[in-house]
Amino acid sequence: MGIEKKIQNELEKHLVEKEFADLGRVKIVPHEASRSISHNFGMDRNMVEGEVFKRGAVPERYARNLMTFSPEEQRTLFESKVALIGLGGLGGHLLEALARAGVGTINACDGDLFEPSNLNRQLLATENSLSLKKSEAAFELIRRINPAVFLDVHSEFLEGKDFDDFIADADVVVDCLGGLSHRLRLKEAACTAGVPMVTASVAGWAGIVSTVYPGGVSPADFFGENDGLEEVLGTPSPAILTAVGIQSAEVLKLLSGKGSALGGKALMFDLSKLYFDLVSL
Amino acid sequence: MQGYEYYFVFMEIKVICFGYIADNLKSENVIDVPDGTLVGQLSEILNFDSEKVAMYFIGDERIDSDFSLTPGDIVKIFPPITGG
Repeated sequence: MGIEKKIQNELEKHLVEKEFADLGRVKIVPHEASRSISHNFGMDRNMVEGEVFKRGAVPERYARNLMTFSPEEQRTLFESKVALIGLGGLGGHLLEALARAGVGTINACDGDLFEPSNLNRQLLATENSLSLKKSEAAFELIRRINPAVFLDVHSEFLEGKDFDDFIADADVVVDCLGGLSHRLRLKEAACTAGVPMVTASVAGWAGIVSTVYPGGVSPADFFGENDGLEEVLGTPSPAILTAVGIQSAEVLKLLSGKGSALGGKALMFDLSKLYFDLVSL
Repeated sequence: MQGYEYYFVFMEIKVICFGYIADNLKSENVIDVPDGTLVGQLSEILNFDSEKVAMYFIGDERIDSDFSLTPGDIVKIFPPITGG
């Protein structure tokens, strides 16, 4: 019996059906079964969970997603690929959100090392990760949170044509860069590749999130050429978390086919007064 | 009529600031401005550096600095912020 057949048999043995309101009965593969099949057959978790979805089932880890993403949408997330640029304040939390949601393939990059000033907001920055590469911490996070995610992580800063190569076959590009210098180049690359981009930026209590379709307008188009306000106000955690919540929701809606709420628009906020405003760009 | 050549009509508008624009600028400012004021002239009236503003909005629409304000307008101003 071929290994594929053996794995199918193993999965079949462990399948359970659970009742979900509105969805009816859904086939679920218990978490422990997924782990043991991966271990016993020496098979990558990404491949095991791929087999689970092929059988019309869902890994148990996504059970609490299913009232938000149907089993078919969850499978679409698993078969999707995101290009994530920047693993700092926005990027670390965004990586976690995508991994927990079940995005199957993530291409991420950041050439930076952690320093003490990152500890105020960056999920991947810890006392133990200071001076280490952000890319390595990203890899470790995925291993601990969801090893079924295939993470291709690069320890480099992208320049010029690198952006085009990096995002070439992504379904969605996520702009988690800090500063302005490369944001417009990334937007141009996403436009050329015909891929939607979800961008976010913050300073102090304020932030802005937008989805940019090819040929569309981005907030960065209006930010001028000087350093942004964050040089004066810094980047505390609440604005980062708020921006990432909106940004990750946009990415997951785009990938799953639910559609964007921020295409050609921006959600701008100021947490000091709790201003939230949806505007057209 | 003689003596009325320089008669100005003022209108009340509201300016809401997201983030930080200037020390003297509160988050919400209700002000009277001369009829025909352009949104780009708010920096002079409220004494802030226009380069500290990236975008102006009225309602949910982005407007250019040569947009002519009308009574009751609520102008939202957003600074350049690029942190992450």
